[in-house]
Amino acid sequence: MSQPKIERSLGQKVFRVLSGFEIAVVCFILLFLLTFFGTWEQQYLGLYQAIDKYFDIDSLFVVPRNEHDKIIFLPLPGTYWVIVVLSINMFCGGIVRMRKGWRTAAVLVSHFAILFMLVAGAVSSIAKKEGLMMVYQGEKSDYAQSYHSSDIEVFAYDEKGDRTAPTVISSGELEPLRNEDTLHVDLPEFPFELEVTGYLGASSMALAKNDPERAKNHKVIDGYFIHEVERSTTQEENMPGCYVTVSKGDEVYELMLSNLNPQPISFVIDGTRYGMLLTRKLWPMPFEVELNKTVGDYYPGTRKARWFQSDVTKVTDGNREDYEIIMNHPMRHGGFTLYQARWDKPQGRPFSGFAIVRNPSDRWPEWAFYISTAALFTHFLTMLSLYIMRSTRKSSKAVS
Amino acid sequence: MRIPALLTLVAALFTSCHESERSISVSETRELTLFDQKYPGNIKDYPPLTWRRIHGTEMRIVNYLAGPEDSVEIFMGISQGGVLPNSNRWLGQFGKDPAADLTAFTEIQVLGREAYLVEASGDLAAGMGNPAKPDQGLIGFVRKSGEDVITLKMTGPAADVAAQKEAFLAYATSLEFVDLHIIPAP
Amino acid sequence: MTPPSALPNLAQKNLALRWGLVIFFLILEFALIGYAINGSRIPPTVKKVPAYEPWPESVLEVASQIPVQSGGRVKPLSTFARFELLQLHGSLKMKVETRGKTMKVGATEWLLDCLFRPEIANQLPVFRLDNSEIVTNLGLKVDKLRTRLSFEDIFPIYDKLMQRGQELTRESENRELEMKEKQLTEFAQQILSYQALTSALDFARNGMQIPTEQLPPAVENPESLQKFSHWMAILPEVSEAIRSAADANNGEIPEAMRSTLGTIEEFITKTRFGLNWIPPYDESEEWRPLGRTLTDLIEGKSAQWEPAIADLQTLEELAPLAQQPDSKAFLDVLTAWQEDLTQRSADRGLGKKIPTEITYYKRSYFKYALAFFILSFVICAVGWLVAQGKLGTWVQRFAGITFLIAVGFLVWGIVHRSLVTGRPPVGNLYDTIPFITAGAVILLGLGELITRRRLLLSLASFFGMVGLFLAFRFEYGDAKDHMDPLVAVLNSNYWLSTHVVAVTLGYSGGLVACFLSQVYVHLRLAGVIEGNKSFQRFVTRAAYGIVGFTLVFSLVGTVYGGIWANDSWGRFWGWDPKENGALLIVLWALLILHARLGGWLRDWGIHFCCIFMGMVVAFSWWHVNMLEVGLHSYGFISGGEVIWFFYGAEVLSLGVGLAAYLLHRSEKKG
Repeated sequence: MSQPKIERSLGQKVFRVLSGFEIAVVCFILLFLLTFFGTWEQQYLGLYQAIDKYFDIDSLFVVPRNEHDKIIFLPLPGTYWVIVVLSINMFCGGIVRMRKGWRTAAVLVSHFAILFMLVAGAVSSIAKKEGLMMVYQGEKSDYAQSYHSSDIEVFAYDEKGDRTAPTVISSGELEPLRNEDTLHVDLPEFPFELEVTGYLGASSMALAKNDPERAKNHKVIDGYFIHEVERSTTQEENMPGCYVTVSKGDEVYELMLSNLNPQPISFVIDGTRYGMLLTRKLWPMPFEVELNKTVGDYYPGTRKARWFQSDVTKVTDGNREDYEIIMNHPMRHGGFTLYQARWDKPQGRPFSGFAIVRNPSDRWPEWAFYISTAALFTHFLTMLSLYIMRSTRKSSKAVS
Repeated sequence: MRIPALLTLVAALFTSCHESERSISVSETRELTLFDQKYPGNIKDYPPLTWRRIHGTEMRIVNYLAGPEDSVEIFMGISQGGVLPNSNRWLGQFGKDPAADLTAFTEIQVLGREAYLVEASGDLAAGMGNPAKPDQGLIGFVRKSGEDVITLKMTGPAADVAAQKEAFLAYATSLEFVDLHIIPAP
Repeated sequence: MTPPSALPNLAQKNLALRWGLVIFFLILEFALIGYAINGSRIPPTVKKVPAYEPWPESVLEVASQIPVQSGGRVKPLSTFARFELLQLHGSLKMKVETRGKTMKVGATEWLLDCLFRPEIANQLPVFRLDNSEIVTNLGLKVDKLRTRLSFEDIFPIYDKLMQRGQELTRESENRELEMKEKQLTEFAQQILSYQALTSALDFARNGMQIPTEQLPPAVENPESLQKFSHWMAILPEVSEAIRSAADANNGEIPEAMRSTLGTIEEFITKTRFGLNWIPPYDESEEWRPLGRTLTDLIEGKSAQWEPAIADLQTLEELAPLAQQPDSKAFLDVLTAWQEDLTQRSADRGLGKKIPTEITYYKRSYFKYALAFFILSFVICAVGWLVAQGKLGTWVQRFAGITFLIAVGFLVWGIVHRSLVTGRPPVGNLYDTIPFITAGAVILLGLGELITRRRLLLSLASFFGMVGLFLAFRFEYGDAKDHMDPLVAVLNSNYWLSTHVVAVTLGYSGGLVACFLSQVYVHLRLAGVIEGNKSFQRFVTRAAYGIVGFTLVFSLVGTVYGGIWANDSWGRFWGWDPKENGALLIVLWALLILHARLGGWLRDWGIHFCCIFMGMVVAFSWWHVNMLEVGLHSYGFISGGEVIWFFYGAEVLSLGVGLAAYLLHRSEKKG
């Protein structure tokens, strides 16, 4: 006798689809392919660009390509969004729909923990901020800079010759520019307009008189020009450059910006001096870090790092707190985490590079991990014990 | 086959949306930090409004253009060697005889101590990748700084350089050491 | 095993086809792997070295214990020699023929030859060349593409070779060198390293060699003037004498003095490189070659003349005695030198583990483990052919015992290695190989204990063989001392013993599942288990269970790695290739589990997926290191084309599976 057909509402049907193994399996296949191609392409794109292409929240579709830019696979949905779908599936199927009982308890817990980890990842991708703070011993700093994104900053000088708060043209607007593109920038706070042209993501700056042959094919401003260089797979090594036209009525300045030049260039409009520079994105900190002492140690006779340690004082609104930051032992305080990321001693002056991260979900994966590990081990050992007991029962039956 | 083709088309559409000319409006600012108060060589300067700052190099930590058609160049450097050898080197670029000692130069106060003003004009010899040039002028100072010297040099057509002398002297004497990023001694 | 007569008729008819296919595929698979491994081997050559005097065991034992600083730690001279020889020669022994007898020259002997008998060392075929075109292009006649040459062999083109090497090194700053050019610069560098060793004791062996007529008259002990140490001891007076003589000679140093001065400079230059076996005379940590210490003394950066002169004098006493290696005098002086260096090392708290490290290498744990795994596998293979019964049981027991001995050596070796390094068992890529092998063989051994089907024991022995063979190939190919200390970011015993152990156990599981499934598909193709549903189910369940094991350890290890990365680099996950590799294994295992739960994977599907999982593990374990991208830069390796042969072998296994599946389906329909 056949089973009577169960009438399901639309909501129930949708829920069944969302919670089914089908979606899980398809997601795993897609994630596998995306992770593989996202890894493979890092050889020629570099880590940063491959992450941007495959794993960024803005990446809706991905077309895997080889080093010669030829398509090597079908387009795939972006990793972030596949994970979103998988998370929904895990919640609906792995928690809500799943049979509840002692056999499945451990799996339920581990599904929950993994889901929590994925949520932590989502929060991190949206809310996490990170940068690098470089400080010499005996000096202090109150800002960090991005490893690889550069902004154009425009500011006015006040009557004391100090800079005023800069207006920031974000890297988000600059990075998509191709060399032949033009970006018109309206700056409501300033009496002039800007036009960004000739943007190069990886460039070098040269003096025209030192390289006249190459200079012939490039725009020379104040004796300098920028030219394209081979993009490094290490994104931090790529220095952008561009040309900027500042205009107010008939007054026009042709300027050139390069990330290689840490100091601003200037121009005067209506009796006010303005400065402009292209620099790694700046992240002001709500505290100062004073680097009192930093020690770096290499294994004798090698350049292999043995030990890096920094003794710092964190100053927040006048409150001073001393900390020790050591490799693998970061300083966590007030939502910020400082890691000992770099160390060197050029010309005998030691400096430290602190990676600063603010991530609301910093410890979530760790908590989720301990929960899921306990659950997974419990489940595995339970299954193994059941299997052994069944095998023992079978052999004793066979004997009797 | 339909689904892969559809996916490819959608992907192509997404990836082909690129505008070669765009307009944006930006008013986002950021807070000031020690980054904005760090100066090359820890020297803060107060240039005249008529001077335009351009890119520097390792040898030219601060670099300005001034005068008609940006004919005058002013640049600051920190280099080795003593005050007298550097001063005489500048004189030598104009074919002048080297000075026997520092009394040959006018003393001015720069960054809290004595600096020596060098002035020369005439035919500038070729050097540093530049061709020889007639009727050029130089005004500059050399100031001892530990083992090194701080130099500020203004060069260009003699008449244009002479016209900038007052501005140059005002600029030189207004320089100040600013090292807000150094941890103050207790 | 079900006898063929019990098989369905169609399967019986196809038996010949099945066995033919199995043999064909096995030949291809082993040929691939064999080609990959053998392609890089150079058959050993026996070099005729007339009058080679072997070093006595007593000398080798003392010399082995001399502390040497290299790679950031103090190690026995024998370990230093081992890896120097591996880098140049690609093997730990050289065969020489002397006085009609063939003998082996090991690493310590070779190093002693370099130091004390360079004229002999120059005849030994120490330089391994994988592409002899780099020397034939310079005019040297060589028969084979891959060969080994002695310094004497290459001497005719020495100048050209070094000049070209220097040119290419300069050019490499501006452009990417081609493969042959890189090989040439590496070879030139190897020759320089070799010469640093052979010329390090030139001053002690040769002396100043000042012609008698140039010696100042009326000197009490003219022989002392032939000693470099004597000139170092009177260097301030010598410098003054040279200055005065030059002043009196219109600023020109007299000819006789110039020659002596030249010899002094030459000896200082020659002793600036090579062996770091003399602890510093001050508080610094870096052990430096004598020449650099002497330079510091001459430049006034150090004032420790006395101990430096004393060491020079000891070496000047030692070197000539080495011409009679059998002599008691040589052994006595060498022993005194070794004891002195050991004491100076111990005074700094260094070198305490030298004796245990020497024991570790002497015991060759992994070699014995390999031998017993091979023996166990052979016995297991015999067991397949022997019917079950008393004989079968004894064969099985014997296989089990040899297996346990093999595992014992393997585990003991890993533990001893851990004690020497003072860190958990897995710290670098080499360490993963014996550990993964141990994890896999223990897992399979425990499985055999539970199931007693003989299959898992055979597979365990096979795995042990393959794993240890890979360990030896990698150690020889990489030629680096993997006991050297780890970079700061890895230097955490807690994370090494948790994250790294978990991930490597995950690799073990993945490879075990892969190999088990390969056995399954080959057996199915051969038709030997077609009627044995219980056995088929057992293998499938075992593979599936191991996938569960793989998932647990890979997932735990991967997430733990993320927590470690968060503490070191400030981010839990960075899509780094090493991280992605681990994630791929997790994803694949999850896919298998969920696809089975959803009913899309049954026995065949599970086994195909497990075979593919082997490729995923190989990609994660090895291939990501060859991409040379990401923060895990401490693991980068070059070369490793062998991995493509492994992938090829796995694809062939999938082919075997497909053939078996198609035959099975056609037989079912029939």
